[in-house]
Amino acid sequence: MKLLFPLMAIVLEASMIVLFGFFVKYETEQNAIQPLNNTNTTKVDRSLELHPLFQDVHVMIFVGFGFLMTFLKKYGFSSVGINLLIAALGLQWGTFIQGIVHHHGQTIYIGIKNMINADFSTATVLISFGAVLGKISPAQMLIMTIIEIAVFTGNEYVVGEIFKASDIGASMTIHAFGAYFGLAVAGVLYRPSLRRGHEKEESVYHSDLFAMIGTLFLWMFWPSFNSAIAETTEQQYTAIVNTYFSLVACVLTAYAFSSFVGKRGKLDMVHIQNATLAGGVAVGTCADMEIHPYGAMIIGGIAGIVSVLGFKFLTPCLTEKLRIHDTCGVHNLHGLPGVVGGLASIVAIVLGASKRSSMVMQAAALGSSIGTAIAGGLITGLILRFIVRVQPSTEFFFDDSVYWEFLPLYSIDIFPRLFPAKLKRDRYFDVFNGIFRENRFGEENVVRISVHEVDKMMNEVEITFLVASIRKGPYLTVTGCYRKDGFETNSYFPCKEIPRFVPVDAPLNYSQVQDLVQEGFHYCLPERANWDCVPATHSHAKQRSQVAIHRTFNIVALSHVV
Amino acid sequence: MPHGHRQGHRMGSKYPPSMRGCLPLWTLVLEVALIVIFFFFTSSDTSSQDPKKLMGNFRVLQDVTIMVALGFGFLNSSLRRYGWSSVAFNLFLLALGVQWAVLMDGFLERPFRKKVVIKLSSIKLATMSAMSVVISAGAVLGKANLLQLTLMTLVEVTVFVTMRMIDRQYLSMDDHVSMMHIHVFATYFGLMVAWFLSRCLNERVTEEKNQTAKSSSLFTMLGTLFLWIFWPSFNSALLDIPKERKNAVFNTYYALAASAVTAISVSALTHPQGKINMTHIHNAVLAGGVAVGPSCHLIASPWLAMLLGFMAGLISIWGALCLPEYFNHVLGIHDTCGVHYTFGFPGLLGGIAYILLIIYEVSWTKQSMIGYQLFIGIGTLSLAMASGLIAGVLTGLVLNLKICKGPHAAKYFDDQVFWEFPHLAIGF
Repeated sequence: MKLLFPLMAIVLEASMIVLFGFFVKYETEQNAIQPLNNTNTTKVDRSLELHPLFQDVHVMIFVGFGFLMTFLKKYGFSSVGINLLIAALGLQWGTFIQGIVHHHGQTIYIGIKNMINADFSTATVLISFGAVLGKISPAQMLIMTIIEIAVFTGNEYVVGEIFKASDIGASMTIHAFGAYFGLAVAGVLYRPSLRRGHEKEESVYHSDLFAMIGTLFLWMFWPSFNSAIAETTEQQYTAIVNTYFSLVACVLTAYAFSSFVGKRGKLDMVHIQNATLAGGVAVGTCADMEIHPYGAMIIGGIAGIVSVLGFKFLTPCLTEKLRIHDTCGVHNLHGLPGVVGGLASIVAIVLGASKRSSMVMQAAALGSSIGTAIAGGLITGLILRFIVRVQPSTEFFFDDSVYWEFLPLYSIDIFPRLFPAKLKRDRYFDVFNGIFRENRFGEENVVRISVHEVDKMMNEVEITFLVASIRKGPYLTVTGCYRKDGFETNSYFPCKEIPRFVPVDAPLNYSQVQDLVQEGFHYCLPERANWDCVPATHSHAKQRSQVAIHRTFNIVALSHVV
Repeated sequence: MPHGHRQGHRMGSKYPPSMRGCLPLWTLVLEVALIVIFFFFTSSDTSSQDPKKLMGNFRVLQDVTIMVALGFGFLNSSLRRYGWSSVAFNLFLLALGVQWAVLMDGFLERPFRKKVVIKLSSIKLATMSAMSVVISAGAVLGKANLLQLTLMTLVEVTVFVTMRMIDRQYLSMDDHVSMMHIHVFATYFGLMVAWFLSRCLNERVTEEKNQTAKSSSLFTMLGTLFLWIFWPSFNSALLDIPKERKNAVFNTYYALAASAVTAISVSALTHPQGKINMTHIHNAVLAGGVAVGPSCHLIASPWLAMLLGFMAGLISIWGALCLPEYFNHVLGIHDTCGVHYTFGFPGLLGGIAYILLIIYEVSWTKQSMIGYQLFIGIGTLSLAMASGLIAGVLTGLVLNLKICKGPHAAKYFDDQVFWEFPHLAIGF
């Protein structure tokens, strides 16, 4: 299993090189077909004009999609890293297979436009990646990339060449397709333990801010995405303006509805990160039609509303009833707005905004995109589930440490202020001698200590270092252990004897905790009853003894349970 | 839902008023109104497009959008408990400001024509006008809710566009120079609004929450860098003559470089142990670009731009060292992001530099024009400042009304008032 991923990646890359060697050539003046509408500029010139647009799309693929998925607290490395891997593989495979399909097996001459189209094909995989984020291994992602791009190209060929449907910003062929493909895969790979929410499937303050970087990059460059493959300059202009106004209108309605469905009118970061982009998705299909800015604003506004409502009501329903767990909520960002885009194009054609396509063909394109996506996704899911069975086990879902090497870091969540009155899960609170000298409350939400620091502290205070983490039930379980006699490492630190701390009854408030820290560490020992650290369960005596053991560890854990 | 659980919070005495009644309602009404206005009064540009020109305009539009959405969003994210609001409100203000500014620009440019034609250049201009709002938002950061900011956006964009119209029609200023007074205008507007909102601010809240954290300092640096990189595009965005445009890009580039070096070295110089203050860097490295703005197309040799950049860096650092004390304690204006010394002072310096340059150029040709040019130059600069001050005072008065449901002063600089926190779980 250890060798599976590297071997698979190397074989795939080698076969890409061989395929490129046989089939792919550069575009030159001789072999380029002169377009009809551009008589004075050659195709190669036109190709170079597209380069800035290609760069914008490239930024969206690698930075935008990559960072948009970094909201998980322990999955940031994989979000950006695997995103890079599958995008890099996907655009090679996409270049090849699109060329083969569109040129009917002849030699492919690549220009900038082929590169843009290859990036587009990658976008479908990245959208699907959002649905299965954290639940799938890189090796499985490679397989999924290969299959999905092949299916995508087939569907795109049918939509573009046979139905001759109009889909410039690819709301249907990329966004709806990618979303439903991903949902189908996620449905097949479903695990029952996801139903109640996985303990690592959470975000922290700064991971959400990182995700905003991705959102902003996508938001800023979406006009390029929707206008990149426009045929004429007029269409390009129309696509840019329409996408722009759709996006700005979408921002307003997304904020409004996020506030509307939130408690006491509060906004939700998840909605802001995703629903503000729905306008760009929804306007994609009719971006180059004569829908006027107000039409684009209506489409964007509706998309923003649909997306927020989807996050609020549909995603929980999907997880609980249909057993489809959608990590990033791609159904609400790409799926529903993509469908809205397809419907909007039908309405626009009925109203006479475009004569390039007919109503029936648009409907057929929408149906074909969703149909192939679900069928392809189910087959891919079955392959991943029963043939390439390298999925991580449930407890390693949403966890970087399975795939990435880093200095073993113990993260200790520190809540800068109060414990809330009601917390569903146990939270723990580690006050550590050395840490707080440097890191006062509230500086960071998470304090990470490297092995070296632990070593230093061990020499200074002669402690055994424990890392506590959240576990279900009334107890706070120490799951990590650092001993004088040797370091047991594993991401989950199995300890031979698992000591247990008893949770605290009443929360400490911020100033109490701050006083506590400032007055010195030894005040925090659990025996000091006035610090709300009284053991509270039936096995009082036993807990006492446990606490007594841990006094030598110079560690205190406070926790609060519902 | 990716973020797991949604929890209730305990009631507290200073519980912020619920926004559910007003924010969604007003935003939706506003958006519907905008769509209706767009339906009746705008039309797309149907003339044939020159591909080179379209792409050129589009590039500049992209650059300006990057500056406003990403640059200013993260530049203002320095408060340790206000990162989400800084970035997300900024995006909201941009989206609203652009739609409103496109309409206002169109109406005021040709008041008698019925339809506003939407071109890429008009969106570009609107984005730049919307930038005035996000600059001012830096001064009031953390002290206003989204509803107040929405109101502020509408007023500020209107006043700014009107001011530019007056500049153009009565003072015969070109678009570029009147746009470059945006910094002065937006700063004083923002400061006045902040003055009204910071009256009840108490010391403890400020001390506790108004500090920067290490990691959000890095986020701020991200914003600073994007602004720094794209500032030449901003300064040359409204120039049409290729030579002027080239000059503007070069001069801005060198001024920025000079101010960055100055800022870092002077920041180290003023510290007792020679350490660099990150907050100074965030703001002062941009001062060069601000200061060189109005005159960037006129300066003939880079040394002058570099001198301006150097002076701007100095002024900005000086402001960062002295102003917060003075403003917080004497005048009672709490300027959260240091807008006054990032944009205000360098903007004034730039305005004065522009007047001097114009007079210097005119004095070679026509002696009699000096008085007139001096009058025009001072007139536009003081118009920008005065309209900013007056409009700011009026807006501040309106924002203080109960109807806006402004947050309690104890809840200033806190994301929790506006956001659902599933994970931080900080109770009230």
